[in-house]
Amino acid sequence: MSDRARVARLTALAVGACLTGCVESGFRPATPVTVATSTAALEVEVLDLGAGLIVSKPDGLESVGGTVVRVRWHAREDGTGIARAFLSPPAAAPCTAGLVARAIDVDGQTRWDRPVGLGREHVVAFGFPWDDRVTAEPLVLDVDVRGAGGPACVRLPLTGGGTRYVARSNFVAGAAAGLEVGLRAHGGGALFFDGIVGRWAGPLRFTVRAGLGAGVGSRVASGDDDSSLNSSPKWVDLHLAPELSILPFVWGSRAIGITASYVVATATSGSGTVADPERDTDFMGPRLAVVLAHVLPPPLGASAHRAADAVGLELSLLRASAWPSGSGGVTYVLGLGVLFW
Amino acid sequence: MGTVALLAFACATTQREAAKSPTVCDRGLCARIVSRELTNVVELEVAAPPNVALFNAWVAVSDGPPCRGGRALNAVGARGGVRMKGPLPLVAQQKLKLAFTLTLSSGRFLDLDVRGPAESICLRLPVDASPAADAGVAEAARHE
Repeated sequence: MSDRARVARLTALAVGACLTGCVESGFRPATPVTVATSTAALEVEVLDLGAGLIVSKPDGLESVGGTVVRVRWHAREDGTGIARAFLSPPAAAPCTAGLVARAIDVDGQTRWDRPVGLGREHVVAFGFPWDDRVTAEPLVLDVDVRGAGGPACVRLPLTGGGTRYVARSNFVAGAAAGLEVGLRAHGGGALFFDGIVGRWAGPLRFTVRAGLGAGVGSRVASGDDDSSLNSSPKWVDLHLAPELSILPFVWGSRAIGITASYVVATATSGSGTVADPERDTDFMGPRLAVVLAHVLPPPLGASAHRAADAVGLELSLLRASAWPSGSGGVTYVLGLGVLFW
Repeated sequence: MGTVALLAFACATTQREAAKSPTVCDRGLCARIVSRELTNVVELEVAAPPNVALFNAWVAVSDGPPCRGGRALNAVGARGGVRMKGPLPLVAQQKLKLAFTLTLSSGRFLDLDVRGPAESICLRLPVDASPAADAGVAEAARHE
């Protein structure tokens, strides 16, 4: 895959994460990773590592996804500066090789000056272009520091060497939209839009999914109910579903997930006229879905089965106790949607 | 490209002369705000002594010590290009466009941190404080 495609995918993930509530994504070290240096009289601690938008232009028109490393910066004196930063393999000579930080952000401000002038206490975020090796190979963060004592290179071990990472937050939020089709004759179809909230518990993802659907379909003539013969009811429905999801199969940034849920819904159709009487249909039933996802690969040292962010396709089958365009009875409903986790 | 587009757009649509902006000089470095564009871009005329470079710029939101804080510079348009990081060597005469993420409203100061081999100069320019100017910027913001 080309670099452009990778960046596009990552940007989509980061934007997707933000669209779904800007949930704190990313991973923090399970045990503190801190480096102190006497040359530059400072201490640097890794706060977290993850994907994010590197807002590289002030107008916000050009934002690209990449790897963001955030550190807590504690200097004993004012006036130290950051000239450059690198993500590199541990074997590289310090501050000479690897990915060069494209953006340096200090306490929420993207900084233009180089060296970036700093005071004593800051949170500094380094934005790097995306590279798949970030999630698979041991890495260090090299910070080229300029201080009163002269230039120094501060090296922080990021991944590898037994460093474990855990997700910053167990809270999850997502969204889904797609199409559902009743598999019976005259089953009709519906568009659905769902919001998803919940949390991870180990490798299990417990969520509640709620949303609305809007459908159309030919109603099956039932008995001597002439009013419904050949009519095409339109309906709206509200639905709610507790869900349990897992990501058992993960290969790098590709994953297959399985979601089981139980859907409870109520639908209203008809215009309320004699020819088209209003009709309520309550339905419920189990729903099973397979998710083909592009996940944000976690860093080396974190569980691969707990995607921080994902975007993918969801193929689902619902066994509904009824269906708004049906004449009653069990209907199987096939769904296809786009999912942001 | 985004910033280039921004700067070009700003130049074409919302540029507003800041005719009364004073020229501020210190040790051979002189600067004047020529115009403000959109709400966050300011154009300067700068005359610089030899061997100096623009290291940073700030929009100070209060009358505190200059070049010590505020909203930091995001990008610089100079000589037909956009520089996303400094420092930027200055020549004898040039026009610069400085972009910030903060709206440049009146009562604020623009601090230029310029450094040479032997000394640093901090030049503080008052951002245009006339009500008419701010109305113009607000109007520009409404059209964004």
